[in-house]
Amino acid sequence: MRIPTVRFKHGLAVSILLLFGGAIVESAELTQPLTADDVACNERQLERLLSRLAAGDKVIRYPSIPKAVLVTYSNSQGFYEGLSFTMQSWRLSVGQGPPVEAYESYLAFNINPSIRTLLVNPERPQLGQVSLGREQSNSNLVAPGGYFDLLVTIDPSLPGNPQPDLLEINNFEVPAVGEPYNGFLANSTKPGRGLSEDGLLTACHEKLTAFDRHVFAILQRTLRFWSPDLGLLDSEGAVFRGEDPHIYRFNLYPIAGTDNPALGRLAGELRLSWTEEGKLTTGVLRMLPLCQEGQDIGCSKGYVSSITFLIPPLFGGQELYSNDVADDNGTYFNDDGPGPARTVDLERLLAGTTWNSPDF
Amino acid sequence: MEKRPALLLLLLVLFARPANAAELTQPLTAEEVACNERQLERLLSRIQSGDEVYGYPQVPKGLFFSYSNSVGLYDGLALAMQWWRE
Repeated sequence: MRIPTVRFKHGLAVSILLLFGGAIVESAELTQPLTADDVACNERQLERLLSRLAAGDKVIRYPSIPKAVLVTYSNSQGFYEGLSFTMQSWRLSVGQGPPVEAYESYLAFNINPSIRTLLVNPERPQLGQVSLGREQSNSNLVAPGGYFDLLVTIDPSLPGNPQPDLLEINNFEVPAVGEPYNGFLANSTKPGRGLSEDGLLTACHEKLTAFDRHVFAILQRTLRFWSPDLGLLDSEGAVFRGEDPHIYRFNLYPIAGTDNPALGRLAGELRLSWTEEGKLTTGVLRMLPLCQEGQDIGCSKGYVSSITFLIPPLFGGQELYSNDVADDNGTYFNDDGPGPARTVDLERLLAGTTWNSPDF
Repeated sequence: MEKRPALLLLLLVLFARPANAAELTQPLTAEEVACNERQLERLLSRIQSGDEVYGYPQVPKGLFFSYSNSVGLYDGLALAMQWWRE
């Protein structure tokens, strides 16, 4: 009688190990768990980066198209990537109609803090530098002066500098050889003690994977939010990983022009499921409640009545999404706090693209 | 009793230098060096930074390429040299 009991115990132990160990190994192949400190470091680092970055309109005019920017990490060494885009809507004054269709239009960029520190003059102290570069093949380049102009700047200086020498790029097309310069800026590299002192040139950890980067890139193209109370404001956002290998976090900040402070922070998370091959299947979109006393990260801040939703990937400058996606794939945040979580069918959302068959 | 300090001293002499060196650089295998060498050679074969046509007078140009970090991004320096083609 003892032998079957022992076998049963071993079998149970093996089953438990397979259940839990198997799940961990499967996740670890594509993503890695992070510690609470890792996540907090990422969240604060991206928030500091956003405080130095500007991508919206300094002065809001009518008619104009609201702009947004999302930043995230590109690899385990801590480089940054971002996407600035025009939103699919118009800011209109009384009596105005939309001049043209408001397509989403993109300016993809990377921020590389791994630039050599030796400057042209060998007597100058070595300085940490950062390079801001646009990714032309992921961007819609336009003739300057229209509704779809996109500009990204980063202030690399120490605080208090009245005239900071900004890193700056835009989405202006490159004129043909022999044509006059039109102001296009494809790359910008500047030394910046401020970036170093802000801890923006060093990685929080080296646990991000290629799969994380793939998800970050998809979320930049699909994660959107809209606030009926705040109107069609410009916005900024950060996408980063949570502790759980399947959790992706985001913070969204409505911005009401440079004369006004940020209006709050809408924090949320997306719990993703995927197959062994890395094909995304579903995502549970959930907003995080308002911060409690003494809590400054991992929570929403201020009055941010809004709906956050996922749109299907669009052909920038050519394709529109249906307004129904906000209801189908969105979740609310209102006076009562976060609304119910929403499960999004990612296989359906990404159908018709090449983005859901990653080769990791 | 005198053996312990001697042993410690021996261990320090034997291991202090390699540990110290490892903090700044790491040894590479022959395959890794060969991989780097061939990779940079392939990269250089795709890069053009000199003059397409030699004219006189003209300043010769140079180009150096290397790696920037462990992820494998590249750094380079194109330069005008300190003499003339005449």
